[in-house]
Amino acid sequence: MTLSEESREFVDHLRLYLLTSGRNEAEVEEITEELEDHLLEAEQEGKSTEHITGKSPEKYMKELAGEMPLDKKQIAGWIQGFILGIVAFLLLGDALEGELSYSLLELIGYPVIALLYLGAIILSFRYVSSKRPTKKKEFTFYAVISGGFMLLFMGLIFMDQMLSIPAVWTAGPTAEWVILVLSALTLVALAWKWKSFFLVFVALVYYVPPLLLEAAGVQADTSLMVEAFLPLGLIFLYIVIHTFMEKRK
Amino acid sequence: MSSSQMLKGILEGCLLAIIGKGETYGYEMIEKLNGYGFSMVKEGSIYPLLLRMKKEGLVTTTKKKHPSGGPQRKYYAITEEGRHELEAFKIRWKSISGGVENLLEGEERI
Repeated sequence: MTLSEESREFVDHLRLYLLTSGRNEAEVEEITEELEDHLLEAEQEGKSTEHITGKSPEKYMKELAGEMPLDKKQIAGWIQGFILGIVAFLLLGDALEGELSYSLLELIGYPVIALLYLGAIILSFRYVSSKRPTKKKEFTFYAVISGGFMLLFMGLIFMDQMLSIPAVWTAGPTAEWVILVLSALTLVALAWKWKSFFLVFVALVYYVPPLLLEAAGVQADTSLMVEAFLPLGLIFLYIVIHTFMEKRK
Repeated sequence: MSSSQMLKGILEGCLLAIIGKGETYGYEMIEKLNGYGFSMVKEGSIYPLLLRMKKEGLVTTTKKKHPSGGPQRKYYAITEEGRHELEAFKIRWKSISGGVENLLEGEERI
C-alpha cells in the first residue's frame, strides 16, 4: 500500500511549500498526513491525483496555506539559526587560520549578504514547490543563486582588500580560543537541533585538511590543489549518498 | 459574494451536516457526499474548509489508529458551536432554496 509517484511528489511539494511559507511545522505535518491518507484511499479506488488536487495543484496549495496562520516565532527561530550557523562557520574558519580581524565593511556586509541569501533560498523553494519546473531547470536555478552569492561574498572580501579598509576589531589569543570553541559548539548544537550534520561536514572538509597538510609539511602548491578540490568532491559525495539514502526510505 | 464563495458556504454547511451525523474522516465525508448525489469538482477542496471550521471552533479533531494498522487517521466531531452554525445554515439554505425554487417555477410574489 504505497502512494503513486505523482501523489508522493505532490505531498512532498506541498510540505515544502507550506514550510517555506512560514506555516507551523506540526500543522503542516498534520495536513500533509491527512492528504496522504486521502490520496491512498482514493488511489485504491482508481482515482487520479488530479481528482483530489484539481487541475492546478499550485492553486490548491495556496488555498490550504490561506487557511493556516503564519508562525512568526518559528520563522524568527529559523532566521536566527541560519545567521548563527553562517557566522559560526565563518568565524571558525578565520579562528583556525588565526585571522580574526574585521573591518566595518565586513562586519555589516556578511550578515546582510547572509540574510539576502536566506531570502533567495526561501523564495526559490516556494517557486520550485508550487511551479514544479523540470529537474534540470530546478538544479540550474539553485546553482545560479548559490554561485551568485558566492561571488557576492568573494566580492566583499576583494573590495575590502583592494580598498585596504582598516580593521575595527582584531581578536587577541585568548579571544581567538574562545571564539574557536564557541563557534564549533554552535555548529554542533545547530546540527543537533536540525538533525542535519551537513554544515558540520562542510566545516570539517574545508577546515581540517589544510591543518593536517600543514602539520605534515606538504608543499604549498600541492596543498592548495587538495584544499580546492577535496572539499567540493567530498560535499558532492555527501549529497549523492544522502539523496540515495532518502530515496531508499 | 462571488459564486465560488457561495458554493464554499454551501459545501461548508453540508460538511457540518455530515459531521453532525457522527464522527467521520475526510475520505468518508467524500463518499457520503457522493452518496447524496454530490459530484465534486475536486475532492481536496474539503480540507481548506475543514481547517477553517476547526479554527472557528465548529468541529474538533482526534487522531485514531487505523483498524488495519498503518498511519493514524484524523476524525472530525461537531461541537456545540457547530450545531448552532448548522441550524443557522439550515435556515439560510431554506430561504435561498425556497427563493430559487419559486423563481424557477415562475411564481411571482411581490
